[in-house]
Amino acid sequence: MTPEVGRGTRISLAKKYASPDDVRIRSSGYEKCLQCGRCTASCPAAYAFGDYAPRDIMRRLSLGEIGELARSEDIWKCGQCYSCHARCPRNNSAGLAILALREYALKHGIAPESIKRLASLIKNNLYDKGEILLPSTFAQNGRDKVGPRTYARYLENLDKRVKLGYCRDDARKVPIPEESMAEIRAIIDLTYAGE
Amino acid sequence: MLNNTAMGKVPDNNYYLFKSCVAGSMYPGIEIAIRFVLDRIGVDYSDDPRHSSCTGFAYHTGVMPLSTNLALNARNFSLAAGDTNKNIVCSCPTSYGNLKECKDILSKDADLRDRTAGVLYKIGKDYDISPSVNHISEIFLARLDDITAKSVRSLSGIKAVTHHGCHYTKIFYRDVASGNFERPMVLDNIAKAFGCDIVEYGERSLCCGMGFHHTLTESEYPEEVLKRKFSSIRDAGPDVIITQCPGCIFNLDHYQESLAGSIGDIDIPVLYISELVALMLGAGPEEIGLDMHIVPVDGLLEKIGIKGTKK
Repeated sequence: MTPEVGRGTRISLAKKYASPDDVRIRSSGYEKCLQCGRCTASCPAAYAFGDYAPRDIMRRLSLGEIGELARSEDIWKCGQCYSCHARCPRNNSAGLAILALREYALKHGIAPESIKRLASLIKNNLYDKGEILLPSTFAQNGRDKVGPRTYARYLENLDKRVKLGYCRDDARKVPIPEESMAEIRAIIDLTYAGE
Repeated sequence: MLNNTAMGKVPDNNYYLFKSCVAGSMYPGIEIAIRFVLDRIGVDYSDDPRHSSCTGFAYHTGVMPLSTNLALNARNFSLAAGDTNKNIVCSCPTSYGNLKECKDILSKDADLRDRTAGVLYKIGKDYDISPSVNHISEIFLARLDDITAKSVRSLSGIKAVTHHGCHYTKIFYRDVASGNFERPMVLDNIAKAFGCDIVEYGERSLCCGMGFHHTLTESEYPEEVLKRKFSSIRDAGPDVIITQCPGCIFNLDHYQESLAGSIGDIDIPVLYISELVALMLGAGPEEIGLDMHIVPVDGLLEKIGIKGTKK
């Protein structure tokens, strides 16, 4: 039933379109978005990529374009800095909604291949050592990306960390005890598929 | 120095140190320096090996389901709650923001709380998310008089710019302990207490260019953002960039060489606040891993009056 629009009545598109039942979409505030553009003006990804706008993410959410957004490269352009959230005059958060869209995309197998590979690498790190990033994870930033001096220093640091009493292949000085790792792995097994 | 809203909120003792996967992987000196400073001022803290990563880097990349993030951090909260030192202190703003967000969601969403508590019950842990979440820079600010009383060096004559982590200033933006999210003063006020001259620059609040997956999968985001950030910093002409985030220090330190081709030489050392404070309290540069920095810190050390690190 279309609500009667008049003085004192707010138009809400929320009832018309379904979105995934995710607390991060519900609390992103997309229904309250004024389309003022402060988020886009503040957004480093909008600056870096030119064709990305958090304001547009909020507009598409209000139109219920969840599937289209999840399939879009756009949701992977955000750098998660939360400038959009801090500067929004209505306390909304495009960055928060993006997290729900990313999880939805990965769950449905429609995330970009580079993200799927990173997801798998990170899950292995977590399952193996209870950490997300390990010293070796950064080797992906090869010599071509960071420059020869930087890459050489990075490689030297793999030895230097041992002199400081840290593990060569773990982010820790003292690895997570095996009993704790069993708890961590049980949590991953119980929750990672999203129950 | 603390905002009125932060007065009485920042705990003055009994810290549960929450380790960072970026700091531990790339700049272990950050954590060594934190323990050095806390030892010098004689506070009680725990360095518990049992807690897991907060998963924040993966969560913000979008590759860690919310349910796993909540359950792993409920376990982390439970460990702190069961410790004599219950106040969680993070070295990483992403841990700080993510732990606070988990606490916020679990406090407001009964369904997620019940499911998360159910997972903890299955692994034999109590559900208790009561511990407070703090950042080490706030602790330094709250204990600044005790810290400066132990000082053996000075930053007089040193020019610095500060860069606060976005996940400290912009997620729970009302909780910035000094200044506000547009102009955070936490790092500024710590450095000024040692006589440092803090200089302004236009891109203070711009991201460091990490963008989580961006820094591992492509270079467009880091490079475009950092060209703008570094150009603004270089115009201010600082001797050092001071940060409070392991991810930011990684990005600001690792991309200077590759950007030199497009914007010219930068070569400004980047120090995490604990490294700087530990130096002021007499730590040796190699003892806190300063020789692991990509942009050499020797020039800065010499200006402070410390013999540089061996290459």
